[in-house]
Amino acid sequence: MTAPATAQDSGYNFAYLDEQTKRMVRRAILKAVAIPGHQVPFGSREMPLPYGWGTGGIQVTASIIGLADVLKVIDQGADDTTNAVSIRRFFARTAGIATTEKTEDATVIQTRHRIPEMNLRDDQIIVYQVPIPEPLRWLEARETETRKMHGLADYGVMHVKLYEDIAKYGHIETSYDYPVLINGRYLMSPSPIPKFDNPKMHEMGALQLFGAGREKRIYAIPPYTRVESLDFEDHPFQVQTWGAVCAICGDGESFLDEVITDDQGGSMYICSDTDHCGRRVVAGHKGPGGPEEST
Amino acid sequence: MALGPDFAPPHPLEPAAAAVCLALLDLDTRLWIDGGGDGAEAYLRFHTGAPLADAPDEADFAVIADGAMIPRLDSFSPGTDELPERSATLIVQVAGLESRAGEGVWRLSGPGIDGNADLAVEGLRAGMAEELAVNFQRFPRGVDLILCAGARVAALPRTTKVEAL
Repeated sequence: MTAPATAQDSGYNFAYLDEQTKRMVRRAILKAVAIPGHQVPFGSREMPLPYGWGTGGIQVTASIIGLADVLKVIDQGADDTTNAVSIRRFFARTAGIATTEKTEDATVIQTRHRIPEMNLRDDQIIVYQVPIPEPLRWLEARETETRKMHGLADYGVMHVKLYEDIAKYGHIETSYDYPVLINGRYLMSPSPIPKFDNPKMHEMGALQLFGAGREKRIYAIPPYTRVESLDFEDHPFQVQTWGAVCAICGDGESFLDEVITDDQGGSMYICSDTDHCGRRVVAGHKGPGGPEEST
Repeated sequence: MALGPDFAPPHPLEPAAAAVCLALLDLDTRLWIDGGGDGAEAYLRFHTGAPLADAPDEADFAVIADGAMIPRLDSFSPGTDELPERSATLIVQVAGLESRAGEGVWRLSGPGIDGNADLAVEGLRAGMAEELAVNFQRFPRGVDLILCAGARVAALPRTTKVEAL
């Protein structure tokens, strides 16, 4: 569904934030782009929704969006979930801009925890909502120490954590928010995207911006930048596979969500990216269907 | 960059540099102006409210009206290893900017550039390619440049590798 630009609600500045706040956020974004993967502090504002609902991403989007932009918002890949619908409506009302669910039509894509399946172009920007921007936080609680570790590129502790996983479980347990190294220098949290999406960040055409509202940090990956998921020579990085296809469109390559269908252990798999799934259905692809159809 | 035909900042400021300044500067940014003369200083002070820095190394932003007279890059703040974002952004006016190959152009590569890109920069002080190479080497510290000519802009962050061909 695509909604054209409308009149902006009166009483708000364009895209809600005042102009001075937007300049402050833009300066933080510029330094973040200049130092790929480095977390830049910014003066996060109180927003009309609670922390944890994408306040960081919204402030980044508000600071970069213009009248000619077309906004897409996804939550876990879906365009039609509460968080995505509310954020899209927020910008349609406060900025009067056009919105869309089609990945290829969007100029700005705000996301919570997924990257669209379609390759993004260098005239697009993807904005991630980030809860905990510091990848080392669970290993070292002190900000003064983690800052020093980034300054010295001292990331041994993360390799030890991954090694301990292998020693204990035989493989690396982390399946989302899997740490990445940006341009060979900064260790970065990709936000809680599944590790399935990590390879898409590497040399992506689109500018990737990350906003953490509660933690007051902005960071970025410029287009065409090296993004490596940490691993070991004898335990190379691998993404998850399902051994199943989407019940609706039959895709076996995209990221699948398991949907519980009854209390007898029945379930089905469907694409997490609703736009991707819908496009395939329109193109004539068909999946095995839900449990009702297949029995 | 699309700027309105009525946008006419006072000499020596040209439209691109003035627009970048108006988009980024306000009362929270310390500004250092080189060779701007009274016209640029009065204009930027009035329209942005940015306080002036006494010395280059105290500035968040520096406006260099004539790229041929740019001070050495190491006279500006490069930030620290822990806080590299506390570094200067230099808005530098040059005589010409053009994306083209040929002798004397710069070959740029690094994050943000697909492979490499050739940029012809005219009117920048000699020796800048060497100073930019030093700036590149001290990552994550360093300064970031926004080159402006007329209504054109080219941004060279510290991660951009510059080779003079």
